[in-house]
Amino acid sequence: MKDSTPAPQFSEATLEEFKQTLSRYPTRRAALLPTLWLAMREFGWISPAVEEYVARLLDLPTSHVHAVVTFYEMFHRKPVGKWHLAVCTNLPCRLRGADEIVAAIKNRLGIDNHETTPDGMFSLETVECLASCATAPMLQLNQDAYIENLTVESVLKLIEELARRAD
Amino acid sequence: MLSITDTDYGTPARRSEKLVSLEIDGRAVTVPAGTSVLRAAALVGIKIPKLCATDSLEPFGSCRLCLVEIKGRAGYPASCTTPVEDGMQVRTQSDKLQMLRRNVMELYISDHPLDCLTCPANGNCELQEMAGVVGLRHVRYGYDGKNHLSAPKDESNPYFVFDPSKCIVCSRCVRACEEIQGTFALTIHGRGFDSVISPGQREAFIDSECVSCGACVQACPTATLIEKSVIEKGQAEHTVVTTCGYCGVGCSFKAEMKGNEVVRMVPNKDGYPNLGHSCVKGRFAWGYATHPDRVTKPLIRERITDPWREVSWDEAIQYAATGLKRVQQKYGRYSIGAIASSRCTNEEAYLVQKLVRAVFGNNNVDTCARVCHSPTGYGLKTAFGTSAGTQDFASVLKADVIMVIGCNPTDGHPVFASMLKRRVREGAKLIVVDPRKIDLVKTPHVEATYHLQLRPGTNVALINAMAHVVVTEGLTNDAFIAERCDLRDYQLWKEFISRPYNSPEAVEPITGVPAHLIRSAARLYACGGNATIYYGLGVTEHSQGSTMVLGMANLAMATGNIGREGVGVNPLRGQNNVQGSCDVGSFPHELTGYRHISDPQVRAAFEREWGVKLDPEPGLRIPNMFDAALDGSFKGLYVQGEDIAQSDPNTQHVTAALRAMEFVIVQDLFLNETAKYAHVFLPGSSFLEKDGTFTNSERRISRVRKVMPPLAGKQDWEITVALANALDFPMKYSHPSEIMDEIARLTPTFAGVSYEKLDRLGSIQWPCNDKAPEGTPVMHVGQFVRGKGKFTITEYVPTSERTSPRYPLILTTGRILTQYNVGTQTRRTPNVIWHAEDLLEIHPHDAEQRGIRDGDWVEVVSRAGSTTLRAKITERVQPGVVYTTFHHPESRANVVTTENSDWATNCPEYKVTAVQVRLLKPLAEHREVGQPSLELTAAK
Repeated sequence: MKDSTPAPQFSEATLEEFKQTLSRYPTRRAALLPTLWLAMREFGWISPAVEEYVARLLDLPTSHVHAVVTFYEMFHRKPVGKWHLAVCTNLPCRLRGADEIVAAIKNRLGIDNHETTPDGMFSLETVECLASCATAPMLQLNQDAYIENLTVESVLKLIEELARRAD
Repeated sequence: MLSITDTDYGTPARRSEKLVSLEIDGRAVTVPAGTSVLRAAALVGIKIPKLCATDSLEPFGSCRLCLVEIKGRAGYPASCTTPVEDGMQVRTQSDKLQMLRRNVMELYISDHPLDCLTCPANGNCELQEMAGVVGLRHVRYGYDGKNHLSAPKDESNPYFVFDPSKCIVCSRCVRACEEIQGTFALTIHGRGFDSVISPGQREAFIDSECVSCGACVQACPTATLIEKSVIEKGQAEHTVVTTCGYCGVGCSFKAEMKGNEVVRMVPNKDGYPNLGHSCVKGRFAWGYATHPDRVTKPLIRERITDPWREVSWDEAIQYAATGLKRVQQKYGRYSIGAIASSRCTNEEAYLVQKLVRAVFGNNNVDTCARVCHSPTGYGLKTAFGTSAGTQDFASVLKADVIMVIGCNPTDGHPVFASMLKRRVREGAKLIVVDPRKIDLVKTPHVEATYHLQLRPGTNVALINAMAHVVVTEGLTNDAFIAERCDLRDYQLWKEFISRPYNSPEAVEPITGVPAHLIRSAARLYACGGNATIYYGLGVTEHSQGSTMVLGMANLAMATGNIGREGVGVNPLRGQNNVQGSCDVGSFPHELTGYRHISDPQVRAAFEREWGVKLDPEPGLRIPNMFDAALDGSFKGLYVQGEDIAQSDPNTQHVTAALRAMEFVIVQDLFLNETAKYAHVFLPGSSFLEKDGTFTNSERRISRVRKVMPPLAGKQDWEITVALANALDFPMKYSHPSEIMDEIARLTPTFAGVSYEKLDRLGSIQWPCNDKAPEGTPVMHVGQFVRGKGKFTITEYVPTSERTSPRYPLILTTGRILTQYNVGTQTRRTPNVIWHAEDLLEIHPHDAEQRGIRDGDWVEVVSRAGSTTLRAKITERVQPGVVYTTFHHPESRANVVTTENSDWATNCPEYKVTAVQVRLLKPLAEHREVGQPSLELTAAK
């Protein structure tokens, strides 16, 4: 599982953010989840080498970091597309048409759940409740922006816009 | 799995003065507060079903099998995580509980292979037993659902298999790795149904950080983690409690047997000091005992160039006796001697010195402690009055500051290291004094507060500087000193240690350690609560080894860190019985119990017991024997279980001395390097083939019990007895217990020791006599053995072994977890998978200057000789220092070490050799691993 690519390293700015993060927690161990989020943002996904890097940063056993990363599905353990679409398929979203949204995305991009388009632009993941039931169905873009009150038309339009923005 | 004879109480014992009384199934039970309901029930013989609980681990509450009903409480609490309360009324059996437990088991079994009859755990499987206990007869879910049954096995570890298809994910292995061993190699990967046990980042066991201590295998309730030897041989039918034959920790083991065959070695949960923990050597690497290389017939020859001839025991003993007599007749009484083994039992070492003193008629007896901890014996006796460590191992669990000097416990003394790491995880502070970044300096969950990375050979300067800080900053414990120590000596020492040249600032250029670090470490040691010192050969194997031992004793006394739990000065001794062999009189100047041979009263007791006159003059030490052999005055040697040609310094000198002798008898398991110079080879027996006792680093005398007959027909003590009888000195012992009785009669510190008492108590820490009938875990309580503690002036004198433009680097040596000493045993086990060769660690700067890349063959040249090794580039060593292990004979590390030795005891200075390191060309063609190295090119 060990890869031979150069050891990952946070940028100066992220390192600064990491230090700030540490100061908010009583122990280094407690800062694991926020540090993993920083790592996700920095590297896009959590490779075994990133697990080791985070373990070193926090003086934790690599095994412990691995356990946490594999426990939470929101940490990507393989590379994802430039645009990551996390569609909620929990009950309210589903009642409001999440299945059609997912089908439309799959159809438009030619990928299945947990897959990435060959050009590395888009990936799809169905997720559990994102706490925005009032605006169901919805998706989260790159673990950041909420795109709400989706329709098949609006999600296809979103994909067109994102594809253009990348050009 | 647990040993076949273990009782499991489910959760660990709790200590509390407060007792709690409750009722379980109508029976009154009283236990210490904090005890779990599960354990309280087990203590009165009520078995509550359980899977994830075991009494070596903290309760976890995941399997939901140990549910009980408690009057007044809603639901069905897990008895493992529920502490007892006064007046509690507990029901462990009811129809409802039976149903709940059966439902849980049903889920487990729906995802478990149904191959019990052909499973290696059959007969000793907790899952199987629980299925029976809860009356599971039918699995409603069938077996066709999603399951883990086809998960591939991991057979990468040489000693155990990981079969995830049998795993119930109880986390006992994960918790054992964390709580007991402290390595944190195992974890759970994934969540829910996808949860699997994962070494590291879901690697193979062999590629992970696993150190093969065996704790996970022992904790596993199924056949998921199981010894290959059990798979091969089946379950054992009886067990014998005995003591490990590897390092000076001296772990207690149960040998699980099938007739005369060992199935596996399981650490003894009730045995001290390890209380159920083990390391890869004791747990798994015992296969050497039946290795085909074992010599099983006595061998003789006339000249060392002749081939060996197999003969009967009678002929060999007769030949040996005649040879020794001939040499003595020709060259006189002092021309022969013996070396007693620190690997053999107390009784066997005792007989060797008795043979020398009573039969040879001189005192030419020594032991391999000469080359390891003789400075400990000298230093601690001088300062405190006893040639041994002050504490028991468990004392470390009461320490607040732990100073580790010149030892690498995670490799050399792994079971003690696990205790130490546990204490550090609980919050104790750690100071590491070592030229290398050993694992204790920084690993997850363990980090030294200070690492004083000194240059090899400057220990005394460093310890003096620490003491200087303590004295000049007013951190001494004056009440302790006034009450317990010799004040005249203290005043002299205080004046000496306060001199400016002992200050951290003054010694910084000598030690290379920044002065502020020394100051901080000294303050922590003096003011941080209970401070304790553990040290190893990095202290003793120096020209000032004894001085350093005295220096540590000074520091401990000055701060009052002696004479109670959690403090002390403690050697970690290398070999299983190096403490014991010294205790029973193996040194040329001392009879049993460290009493000088020149003392007529002591001698008189032995003379009465043995019926002979004893020579009052101390005999030759090992290095003196070699020198005398080369001078022509020492001509015959009886070596019991020590490979002096490989383990003693300056190999050329040793082999020349052996060649110069006329008659050499070697008694060993294998034809070792020394046997090449022998005329008689007497095949010895391993620790599995004999009765006796070993004494570990904490003065603990533990029984060694014969689990199989000696392969060559005789236990080592029987060989010495036969030799004495052939030399017309009758020794009549029918069992080693009679030898121990003789030692007890003659030795005040052993007066209360007997096999009967050892069987009763399990083990005894000497002194054991009328004053301490059950032994002495902590010494010097209230008063030092010598009366007043003695401060000694410890002037730092640099070793004469200095770097120079020709030899600019310092070579120091150490060892690795999986190998033991010169590897005679461990190289004959699958442990070689981890350490196939010795490597030369070199800092990147030094490597770059010499054009050396990782893995290159290099030549290491000292003033004494040269050898070749493969380079390993690492920042574990500091610039200017190179490091190697000495486990493989072809590495010939001792070809380069010098004859320098400790001023007081002649302990060789293995730890400091000035060398040059050169790249060898062409690369990698000089020798394959395991092949002899380049011919020796002695510089002399």
